[in-house]
Amino acid sequence: MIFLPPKHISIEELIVRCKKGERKAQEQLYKQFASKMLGVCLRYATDKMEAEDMLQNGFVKVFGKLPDYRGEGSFEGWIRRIMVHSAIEYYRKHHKMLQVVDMEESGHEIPVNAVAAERLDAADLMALIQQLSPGYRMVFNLYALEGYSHKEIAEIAGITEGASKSQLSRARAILKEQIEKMEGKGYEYAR
Amino acid sequence: MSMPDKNMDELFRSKLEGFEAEPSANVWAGISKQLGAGKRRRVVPIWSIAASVALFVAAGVFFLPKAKVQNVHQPKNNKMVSVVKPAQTKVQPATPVVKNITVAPVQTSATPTMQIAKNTVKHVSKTIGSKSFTNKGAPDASTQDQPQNNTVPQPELIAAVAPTEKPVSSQHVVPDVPLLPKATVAETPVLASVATNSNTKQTRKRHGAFTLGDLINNVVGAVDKRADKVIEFSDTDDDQSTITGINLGFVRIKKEKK
Repeated sequence: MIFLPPKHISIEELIVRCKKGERKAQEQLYKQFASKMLGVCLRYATDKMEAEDMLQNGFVKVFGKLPDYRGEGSFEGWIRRIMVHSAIEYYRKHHKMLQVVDMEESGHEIPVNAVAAERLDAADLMALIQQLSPGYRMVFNLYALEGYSHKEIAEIAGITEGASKSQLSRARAILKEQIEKMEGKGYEYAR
Repeated sequence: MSMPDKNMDELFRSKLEGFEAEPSANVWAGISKQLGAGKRRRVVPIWSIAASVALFVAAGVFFLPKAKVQNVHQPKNNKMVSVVKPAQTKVQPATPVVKNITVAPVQTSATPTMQIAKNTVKHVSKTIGSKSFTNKGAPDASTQDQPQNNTVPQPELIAAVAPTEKPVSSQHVVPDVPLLPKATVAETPVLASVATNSNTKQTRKRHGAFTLGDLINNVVGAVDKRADKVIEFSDTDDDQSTITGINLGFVRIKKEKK
């Protein structure tokens, strides 16, 4: 009955103990998933500090909803969903949602060198995303990274489907521009 | 060549998929705080339970109806009974305090005493008040040995019984126990073993209440075998228990009784 060091406990056992409210177990669970989830939150936040706020709220929610988790599907995926919702909620509380009017798609496609783009690493891409304004960033994350449909995004984010679509397209355009710029720099270095 | 939207989405997704970052230490602190008082995992509190059980048992054993006390105590503790007896026979007039009992510390053999005790018990329980009876009940040599015994009139015996009983106590069955040497004035009641104490009290105050102090004395006595207990209670006036002694090793406080 003595509390064993983490490595000896299965995730199921850990969850059981967390459900009972055991602080040590909860801390263990947090430590196991915190870094990854912070990675998720960073995409939605303006900066690391905001991301950590989202992370904190997210985990509090996770522990609160733990009784509802019945072991179906990936546990990490379950946590991630809660984290995303928490991030959105935080965002909506702290940022004015841009009232996006359906824009017509900008005519020209921004050429992006696919190969060069591949060279960008995660840190670069993260930086690009964080440069987006919150509304675009959120939709892009939800659609491109989390895989939600516009319909679902509308529900989660509290916007219309149309707004979701236009924000997505706008986000993409901006990202491509940025990548292009970076590639330009990259080329300079490469020479 | 431009990159299709889908590809760009995928680019971001794949590269950011496993993106990790180390959270600051205060994040968990904040979470912990919001979760409120957590639960510490602990082994079943065996010792707490054991202690509680022991306490209840002790309380149950000692906390018995007054009327039955002596009878019940007899089988349990002969010395208590014998205490009663000798007290009666010896009887020092008036003064409840042991010091009056110049009983020669005769060490009567246990056996005779025990017998005495047994005999006495019956009598004792029947009537503390019936002096003559008690006297008869305590036939024995051991008591007779005491010069004082005969001198003292029965009635006073009774009165003195209670107080004297206390001093007797402690270790042996021997009623005549070296009261004197032990009898530090005040402490008599206090010095008495717990069992004696409780018995004494019961005999003394038939109408009194078995107070919380008595209960505590019983329990403490069972655990603390020193002459001066960790904490002792006695009556300062009817039915009231107050602390008359504390012994914490470095601090010793004893109330002097007249």
